Amino acid sequence: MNKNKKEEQFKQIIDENSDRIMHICRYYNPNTEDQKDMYQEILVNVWKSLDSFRGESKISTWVYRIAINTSLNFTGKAFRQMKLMVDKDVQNMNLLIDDDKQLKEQFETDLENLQTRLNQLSVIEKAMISLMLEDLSMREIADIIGLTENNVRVKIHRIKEKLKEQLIAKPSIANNTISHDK
Amino acid sequence: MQNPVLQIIQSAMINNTTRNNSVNNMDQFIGKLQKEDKRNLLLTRNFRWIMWSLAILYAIMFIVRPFSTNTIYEHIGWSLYVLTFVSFGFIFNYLKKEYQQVDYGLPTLKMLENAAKRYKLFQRKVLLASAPVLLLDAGMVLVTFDNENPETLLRTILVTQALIIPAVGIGLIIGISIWRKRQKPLRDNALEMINELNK
Repeated sequence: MNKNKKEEQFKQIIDENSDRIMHICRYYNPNTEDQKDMYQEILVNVWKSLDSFRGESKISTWVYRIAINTSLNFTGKAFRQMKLMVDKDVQNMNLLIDDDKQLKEQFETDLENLQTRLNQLSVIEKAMISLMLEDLSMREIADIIGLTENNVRVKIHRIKEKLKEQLIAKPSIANNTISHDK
Repeated sequence: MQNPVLQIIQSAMINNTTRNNSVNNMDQFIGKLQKEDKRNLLLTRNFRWIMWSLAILYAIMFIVRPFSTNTIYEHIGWSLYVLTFVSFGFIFNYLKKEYQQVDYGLPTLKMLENAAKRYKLFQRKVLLASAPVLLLDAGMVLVTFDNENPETLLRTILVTQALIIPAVGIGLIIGISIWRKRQKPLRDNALEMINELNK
């Protein structure tokens, strides 16, 4: 690819997708320094992969792929301990629970408990949840991960069920204390 | 040790607080990335040049042959030396390209499958690297073989193997140790994730 053209394209991609990249970085890193490091690592990988981009998928899908694939490598040795960070600012949190109003409330009021449960998920499950929290369609998640849409739907359903079961079976210590006090 | 590319970007993106700053830093950042690309390319070229130079040197020695007894075996032996360095150059280039072209834009499953393949210990591509060693081995036998005493052929072959096999063995031990420490964990992680995705 022509040097100037590559430069232009790179700038445009980063300009249009920096928020997406930043969101993924926030899911995986609690502190800003680590977020910055991961953001930079993703940028390096966008640059390195730009020559292979054939425009077969949407740019945003391609950027998400790079961000997710980098996150799987970024954590290196500690990848099993990789945490998925959510906070009250994360939009679409309600997507984690489909119809259960009570659980939705529990999620919102007991973020710490939800955080613990999320961190017990596998690396791949965390990646899927992070994409779901980005409000991507099943089709888009499937394009990013490389599975069929149905397969993604089933996997996400399983994750949600797992979370639901865990939250019902083991309510947080805080909740227990509250109910005991009552 | 921190990735040099990351160091470059970090220095380029420090205080990236305003949009204007971000654009300025981005230009600097891209410039440094291009420099890094150039440096990598230069490293590959340098190694290729060393191999080509050795091939040329051996080709000259083949033509001049100051200590030559001028036998057909010696002719073939020197040709094999030249071929050894030429093929080392090509193979190194090919393998380096393979390792450098990691496409993070592929779907995760595909990227993981590629990683598992890339970090496999014994793969057909790496066996390619044994071809120059075999050429060198054959070259050494033919160059050192005393044509006038054919009965010494077996001894020449054995002496050459006594040199080559320990050298290859040491190389293998070092290579496998490096693989176990650096690449095996990556392959194991990739396989684990592939397994989970295919469940």
